[in-house]
Amino acid sequence: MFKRARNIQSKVSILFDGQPIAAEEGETVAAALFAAGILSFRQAPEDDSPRGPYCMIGNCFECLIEIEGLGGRQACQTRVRDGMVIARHRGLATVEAGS
Amino acid sequence: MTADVVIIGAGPAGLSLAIGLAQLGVCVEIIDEGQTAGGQVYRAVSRNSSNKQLLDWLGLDYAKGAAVVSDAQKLDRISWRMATSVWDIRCEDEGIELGLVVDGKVSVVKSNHVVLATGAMERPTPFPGWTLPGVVSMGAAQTLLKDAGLLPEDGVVLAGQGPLLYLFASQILAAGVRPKAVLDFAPKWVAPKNLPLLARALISSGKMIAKGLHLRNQISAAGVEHLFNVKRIEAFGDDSLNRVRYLHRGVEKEVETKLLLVHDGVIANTHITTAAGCAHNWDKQQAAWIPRRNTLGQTSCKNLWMLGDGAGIAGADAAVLQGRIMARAIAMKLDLSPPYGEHQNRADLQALSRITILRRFLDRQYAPVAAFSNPPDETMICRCEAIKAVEIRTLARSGCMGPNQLRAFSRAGMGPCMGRQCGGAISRIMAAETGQDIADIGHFSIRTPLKPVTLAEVASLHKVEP
Repeated sequence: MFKRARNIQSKVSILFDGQPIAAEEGETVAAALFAAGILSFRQAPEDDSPRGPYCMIGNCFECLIEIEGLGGRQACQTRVRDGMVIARHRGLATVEAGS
Repeated sequence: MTADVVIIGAGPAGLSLAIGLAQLGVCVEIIDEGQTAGGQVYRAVSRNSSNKQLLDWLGLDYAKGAAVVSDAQKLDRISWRMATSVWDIRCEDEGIELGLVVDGKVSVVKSNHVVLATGAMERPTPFPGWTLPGVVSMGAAQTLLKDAGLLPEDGVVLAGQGPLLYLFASQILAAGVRPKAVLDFAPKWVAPKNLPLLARALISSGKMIAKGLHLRNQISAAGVEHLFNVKRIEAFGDDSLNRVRYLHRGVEKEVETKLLLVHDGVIANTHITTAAGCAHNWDKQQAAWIPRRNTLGQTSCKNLWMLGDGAGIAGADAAVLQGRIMARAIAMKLDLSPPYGEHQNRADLQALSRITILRRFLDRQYAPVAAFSNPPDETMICRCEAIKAVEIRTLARSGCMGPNQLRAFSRAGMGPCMGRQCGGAISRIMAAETGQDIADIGHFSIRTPLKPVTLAEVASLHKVEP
């Protein structure tokens, strides 16, 4: 787990799976979730195992998350914005049979 | 595009080169994924320059990066494309084409001279359980400290080896964090066979060795358990990490923790050079692929240059020197008089060779951890596609013709990271299984897109009139 070295200076609020989370303006989505005690960002599509950020420099793609409705975004490369809506990936995406 | 030279990477190498060229009147454009200049080593350094407490923890070698960044920012001839990812690179005879994406907007730029200063990545550390949330690379934790002011909580366990292990341990100790243990895979003493290299390193860079020892001593001085010669680790937990098992002096022990930080040195990040089609050599000393370059720093692709840690690990100070040396080479190529006199150039080359001597010792003393190089069968090698070591070994033994065929058969390396995390391990395991040299086994080929772009974004490049 990670903690903030100092209190949030310029607060924004993001929504993670419907829960409001306080974040520092300009920090990455990955940092904001880590600071809120969230380590697991998704279930891997291959084996449903829990996954979270590993490298923080855009290399490992373990921090992939849904941001503003778009899946597979890199949480460690995306900066938070006030009101940003974020959701955990849950395994393989499913497609409803079309009409 | 009006820039004469495009530099990819705003770390010390890219900044130093840009400064040298701009001072000569060359228009330079710098492209970087980061929000601010500095690369990984000087990440967020200008933003942090008013945060004295954080600078105290991170130390002078970080704080000094602010000068390099502000020197570059003062120069009008340097233009910046920050928060910009390169998702495509094409080297043609008539120039180099770069596909860029910034905030969901895609563009293509062309340049006659492109320099890659794309830097390093941590050597991936496959071991059983390393995919569990709560197992994080040490460099990642340091990035979180620089970029977001996050500290690991008390009870964190540090494992692995290398200079960054000691540096980061000392940084978080300075911040008052109480780690539970440091599981050091390196021996406490230098092996007799490495003493000649150590002797040469002491002569050339005695201060750096003293600094390293000082950092290392902080751990036990703080009363933190520091075990040497750890042989193996394994992580356990359900939804996230809750304990680590390790082998020390032939005895298996366990430690409870929510956060395990792992490190096994850094290697050149060759993703973009591989995609560009550059030739690479297997570097035995660094146990990594590095792009082939001539003495000026030109890769095997026409008009594509490279410097800094992406061309072989030498560190931030070396990167600055390399930037000045390359500015001179490019200036001469562009028929301009070099930015630095012959005297300065000689001094830079000498300073660089002193760092190289230190690096030889460090590369030997912290040669890759055996347990990570040759992990047990149940270890996840390709994290993206969930392919374990046993599957790689089975395919290698059944006659798979190299990493690219293995990728096609198993999907290892086909996930979102495109082999950045598993490529090295797969080549290594195939070499070990078949008794071949890794240089003969080769590496993954890499194709566009290098970074995620949506179909709509790519399609928007070619507007077709109805």
